[in-house]
Amino acid sequence: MEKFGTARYQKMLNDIGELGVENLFGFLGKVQDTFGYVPREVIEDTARRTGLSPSRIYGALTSYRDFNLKLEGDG
Amino acid sequence: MKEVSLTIDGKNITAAEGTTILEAAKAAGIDIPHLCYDPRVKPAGTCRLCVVQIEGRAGLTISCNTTVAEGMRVLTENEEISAFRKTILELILSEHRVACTSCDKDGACALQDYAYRYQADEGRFGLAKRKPTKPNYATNSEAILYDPDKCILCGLCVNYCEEVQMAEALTFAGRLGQMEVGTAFGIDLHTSSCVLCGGCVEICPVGAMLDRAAIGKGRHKDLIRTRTTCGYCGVGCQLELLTNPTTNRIATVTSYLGCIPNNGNMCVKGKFGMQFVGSDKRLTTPLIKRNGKFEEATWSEATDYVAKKLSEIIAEHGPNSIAGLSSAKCTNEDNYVFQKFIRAAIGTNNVDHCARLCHASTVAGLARAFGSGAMTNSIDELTNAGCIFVIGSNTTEAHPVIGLNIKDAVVENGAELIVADPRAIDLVRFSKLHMAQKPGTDVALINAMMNVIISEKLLDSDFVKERTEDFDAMAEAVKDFTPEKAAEITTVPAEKIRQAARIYAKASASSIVYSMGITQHTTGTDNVLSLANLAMLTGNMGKKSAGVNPLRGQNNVQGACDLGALPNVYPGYQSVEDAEIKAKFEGAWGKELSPNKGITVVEMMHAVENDEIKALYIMGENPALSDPNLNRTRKSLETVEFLVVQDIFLSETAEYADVVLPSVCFAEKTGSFTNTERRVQRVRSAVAPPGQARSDWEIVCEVATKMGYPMSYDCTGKILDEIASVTPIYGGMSFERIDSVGLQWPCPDKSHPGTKYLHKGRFTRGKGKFHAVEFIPPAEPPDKKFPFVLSTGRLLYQFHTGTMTRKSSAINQVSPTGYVEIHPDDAKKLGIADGDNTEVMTRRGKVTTPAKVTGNIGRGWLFMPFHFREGPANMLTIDALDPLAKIPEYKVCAATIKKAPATS
Amino acid sequence: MKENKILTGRGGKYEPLDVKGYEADGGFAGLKGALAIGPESVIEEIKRSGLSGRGGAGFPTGAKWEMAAREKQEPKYFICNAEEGELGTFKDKVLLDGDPWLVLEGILIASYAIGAGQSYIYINGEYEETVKLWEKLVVEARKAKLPGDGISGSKSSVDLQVIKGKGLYITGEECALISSLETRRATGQLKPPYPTQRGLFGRPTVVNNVETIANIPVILSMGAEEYRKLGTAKEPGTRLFCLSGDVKKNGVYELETGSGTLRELIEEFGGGTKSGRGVKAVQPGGGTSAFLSGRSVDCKLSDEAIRQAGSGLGTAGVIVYEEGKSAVGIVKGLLDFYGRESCGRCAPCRIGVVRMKEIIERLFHGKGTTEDLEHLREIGKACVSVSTCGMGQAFPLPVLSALELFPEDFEAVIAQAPA
Ligand SMILES: Cc1cc2nc3c(=O)[nH]c(=O)nc-3n(C[C@H](O)[C@H](O)[C@H](O)COP(=O)(O)O)c2cc1C
Ligand code: SF4
Ligand code: SF4
Ligand code: SF4
Ligand code: SF4
Ligand code: FES
Repeated sequence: MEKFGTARYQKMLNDIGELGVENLFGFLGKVQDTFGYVPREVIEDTARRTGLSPSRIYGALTSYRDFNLKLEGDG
Repeated sequence: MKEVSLTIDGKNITAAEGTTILEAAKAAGIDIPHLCYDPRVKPAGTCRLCVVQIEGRAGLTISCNTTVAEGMRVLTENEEISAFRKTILELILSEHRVACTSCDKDGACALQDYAYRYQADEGRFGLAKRKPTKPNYATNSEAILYDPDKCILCGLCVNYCEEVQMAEALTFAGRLGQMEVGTAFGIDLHTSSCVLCGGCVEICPVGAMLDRAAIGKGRHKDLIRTRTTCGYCGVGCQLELLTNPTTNRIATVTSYLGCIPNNGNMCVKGKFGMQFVGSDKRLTTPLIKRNGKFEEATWSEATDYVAKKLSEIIAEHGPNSIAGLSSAKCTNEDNYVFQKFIRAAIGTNNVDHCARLCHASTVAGLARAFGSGAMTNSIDELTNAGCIFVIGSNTTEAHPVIGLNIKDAVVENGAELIVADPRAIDLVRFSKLHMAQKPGTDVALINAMMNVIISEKLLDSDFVKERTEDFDAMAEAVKDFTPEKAAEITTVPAEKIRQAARIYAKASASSIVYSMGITQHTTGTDNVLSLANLAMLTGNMGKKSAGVNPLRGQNNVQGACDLGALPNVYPGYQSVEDAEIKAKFEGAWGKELSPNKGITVVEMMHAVENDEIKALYIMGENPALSDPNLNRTRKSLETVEFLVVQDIFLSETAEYADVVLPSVCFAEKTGSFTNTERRVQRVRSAVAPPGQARSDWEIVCEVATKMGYPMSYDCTGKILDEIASVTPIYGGMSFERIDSVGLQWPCPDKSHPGTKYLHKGRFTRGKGKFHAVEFIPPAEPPDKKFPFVLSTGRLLYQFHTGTMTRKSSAINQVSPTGYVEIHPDDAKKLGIADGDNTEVMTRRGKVTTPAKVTGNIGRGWLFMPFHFREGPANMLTIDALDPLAKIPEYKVCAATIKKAPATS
Repeated sequence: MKENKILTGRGGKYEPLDVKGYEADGGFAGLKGALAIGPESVIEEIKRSGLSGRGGAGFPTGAKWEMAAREKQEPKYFICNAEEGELGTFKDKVLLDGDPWLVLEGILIASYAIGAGQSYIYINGEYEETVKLWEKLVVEARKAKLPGDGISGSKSSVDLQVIKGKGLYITGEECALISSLETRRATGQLKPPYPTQRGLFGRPTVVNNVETIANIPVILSMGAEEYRKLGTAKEPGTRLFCLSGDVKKNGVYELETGSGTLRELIEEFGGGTKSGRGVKAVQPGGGTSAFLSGRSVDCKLSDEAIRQAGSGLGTAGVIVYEEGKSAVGIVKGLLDFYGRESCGRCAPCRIGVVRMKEIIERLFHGKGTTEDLEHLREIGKACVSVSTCGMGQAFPLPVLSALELFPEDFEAVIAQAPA
């Protein structure tokens, strides 16, 4: 597991090419697997890029057992 | 639409194809239990209570998501179904902390009703345990309370927020056991994308979401419901004021499904903006200023004094030395009585009202082009428009419920939305095309669109030939107005203008929606004429869902205009300069009337300076905050010899008055308002007035009578009857006829059904008239000293000068004070950070207000809301007027801005 | 009774990423055939084969494809469902790991037949190695020259996203799976509209199980007529039976439908029960299928026969329980799992599963009452009758059947309860 960093995140964005609703779920899964959680800024950023609302993405992720929105051990 | 026949519980029923079983049953008087159905949202299908048996189908089917079919036989209740319903209810109750004893919703709770109906036992599967109290997204909200212990997770609130309001503030969060309604990251509601429409509270079938200010103010079963028309904006939403008879206070506000025009929807002002009604700041007794201080007076003292002073001034300076400001906030009846008072009792046509400041150019422009100046279509017709062209209207903020129609048209029906607005307003999210024109360049933009339409032969030649005149003059004027030329003036790329023209011209039915962004210019009338040209050119007139639709600002600005609170026309837009018409009114009112038109709002203030106006009678208006160039206005209010102000609060204007007369607000009144779609709707009183406050019309009648012109009416219904007798477009109106859904004018007689859209087959003036409109730049362009363009406007949360909205705790939380919007690049250059205090300056004055740094606004441009007394934008605005309509240019003036020096 | 490995036969014969190896072993014959006859004929062929879904619901595959193909909306989507979350079910993994190119070939044919642009494979998150393998496989597939490349205008015909599941049983349910791919909460959805009408992103979508998809190339290369000769007339082909529970040997066995009985499967392939005692009960179709008692295990290995016996073939996850075990404990084990898996969308399932779990726990700990049994039946029946999706409709089935078949086990624990 890596520590979250914007550079790494940027690279992931570049790797996936164009981020849209069609590949968002897979992408967020990768973010989870890479950093151990999906940081708030990632939700906000991907919301902007895909046109979905942050509440929609946030609400969705909280329904999955294997998505964390906080780093394990953080409050 | 095709009809199908079916039987439900043995009853033969026909219903339109596509109707759900639940809806068809409901229409036939069969109530299938449901906890998660609402016609405004897609079926949630979460409660499963609405199951029915359909002959020939195995098992049970939910009726809220199953459409009727020919020959279908449905059973909505039998032993098995009832047993299942009881089980489901008992399951729900096992997770719902039943606390009807202290629950506001008691009496209006669907769960309670069904539990009773099926005799469901709340403890049979174990009593719900109280969840550990922890803060949720609404804990800090002044508007809403959310109680997870009572939430049945039906999903209606989330769906409403997403599908109807499209604010997407709410979501479900968490998994089984922890599932709750929340916001993204659980942030506080008032910092989310919530627009406080209250829809979530309204749609909640149980008491899990409540209006926080209403808690403890009365259980639903104890409250009295009064249906009335909202006193805020021109949409004219039908509301129900829920009052507690023991306290004479409005506890909360709701609406109801199926009502026109809002179908149960509301905005923040209607839902959360009613605290002002019961405010202890309300005026309760007449006040007379003696030695510079207000002293309480009796009604007879006060009206004697007013009548005496006015009579003296008439005797000395003649009737034209008096002017009256009527009110777009008051009822039709108040307005009629007021203008009659000014015209017949005083003897002058010097009567106007704030429509001058918002839509005078609409009235002037549309009258010239079509013959009458109002929305050509009905609000609900927007839903089926192929193209909606929104220009100079921040609809979702200024007319939020019409905003819902537009969003619905786009999202559900695929309408193509074009937005022309210098700011990236919320509607841009839904638009196909956004043209961010430079403020004050609308004529250039529209001329270029017409240029494209003509050169690409997208015009409706038949319509132009048969229904209009003066096409050639207009065509000549736009001939050289290419998109490229317009691009230079407007900064909108030529290709975008072309695209917009094509979309607009090619759609099945195109509807133009505009508001103050069009009208509040020195070229306001020109702007309106241009839009009229555009609509006629493409034949988008005189049919459903196609037309020119000015959205009127205040609740009854349409009615105030209709009823002659204008210096040039009697009620029904009948000219005061037409001898025949004058004679008719002289006959009706038994008094000789002035043959000359009167002066307008801003002219009145200027006339005080020249000593031409000695007395001003102001009913329910606040020019000391709403008029342009406030320093000048306030000076006039101060220096005028005699000032009477009739209001519900001691407003900024009332402070200057010699006599203040306490009047009642819409919640204490009876009468009617006319909304922006020309619909005359009832106003009904829900609470008793505070102290000695009286209806505006009653006060005016008393003054008139004391001045020797007796005026009296038994009730407001009688006033409307008199209105009908002298106003052809209102000829068929009566309280009886407008009782349930109102009536849209023109409605010439008692059998006329009212008019949904105007100019069908024939324009009011006969033929539609094209006008050649030249582009004229705004009066005060930016220069070296004042390099910014300042524009003013409205906010969703506030209304007019804030006297009403700012009494609401929910509103104050989200909109505590004014600000100036500035582009990040400009802010950076000037060293201004978001939230910094700034000084905004124009040639007329200086205002200190915090900066809101946002990319929604263009470079070189500033925007200020005008509602706030502590940062009064109108200190800055210019009082340059449109030559025809006399509307001031609130939307463009030159300004400069800098960081304010730090204060200790 | 003998296995007939038409799907699993190639397992391990080539290195998983070696497309050449697959081709050399007859791979891509189905795809080539499909391209030769065109989408409509492919669908016809699948319909003729009588293939039905292997994901649990048993819906005819050809008919499903045809519905989606007929829709006018574009684009369309194809999703291969490899969530495989059902208890007692682990057959898809065998195919995904053992013959991935076969599954990929099936996906390509399916996408071609229904006219899908993008396709997805949604793999159970616990199959970490499988996910990695498939990610590499897609890269390989894009590089390789496959039949069909270029026909859609793009260089590669492989437009497949590999999605790793996020730990929810419910994402195996097709509507929840679609919601998940839309970055929505993983919940069941109302039908209509059906996925074939308005599925992923509102477009026509076909969801098929891995095993279903593995059948596609096989059918196209051997021809529907030949295929129909396998198994029973009503349920042609083979099924991958997953044997688990109290048997000596767990495993996946590919058998033609109707080729033997449940008892034979348990004895011949599973080596009989662990303890050698008799079979008390069997769940023949995964953890949400109703129990068959030990007396009913002589029924044939077909959905039809198993239904007649009172259950269903479902995912063909055969879970065996030997005599001596209490039904209460068995049922508790099941609800320990399903009790956490309701998506929470609809009231009866969301609340019912938790209430039932509580009651069973109470019974298990000797604190239950006869009234509790009544409540179990009542809640269970309500869930089955009114729930939105297969989860709520099915999870009570084992409980209800246990109450029916083994009332004495429940009475025994109540008898202990203090009055
Ligand atoms: C709760 C639940 C879980 C399911 N899980 C799976 C699964 O893991 N894999 C699968 O293929 N189908 C699963 N299904 C069935 C799918 O909904 C769907 O019917 C199937 O994927 C369709 O493919 P088929 O027609 O090829 O069988 C599940 C259904 C339900 C109700
Ligand atoms: S929400 Fe309804 S059932 Fe619940 S406590 Fe309030 S009134 Fe009673
Ligand atoms: S008040 Fe309106 S916008 Fe705010 S959360 Fe409720 S429904 Fe959404
Ligand atoms: S708050 Fe009300 S509307 Fe929203 S989910 Fe809960 S019960 Fe339903
Ligand atoms: S039945 Fe259960 S799993 Fe299915 S949608 Fe309803 S709550 Fe969700
Ligand atoms: S009303 Fe139909 S499921 Fe709730």
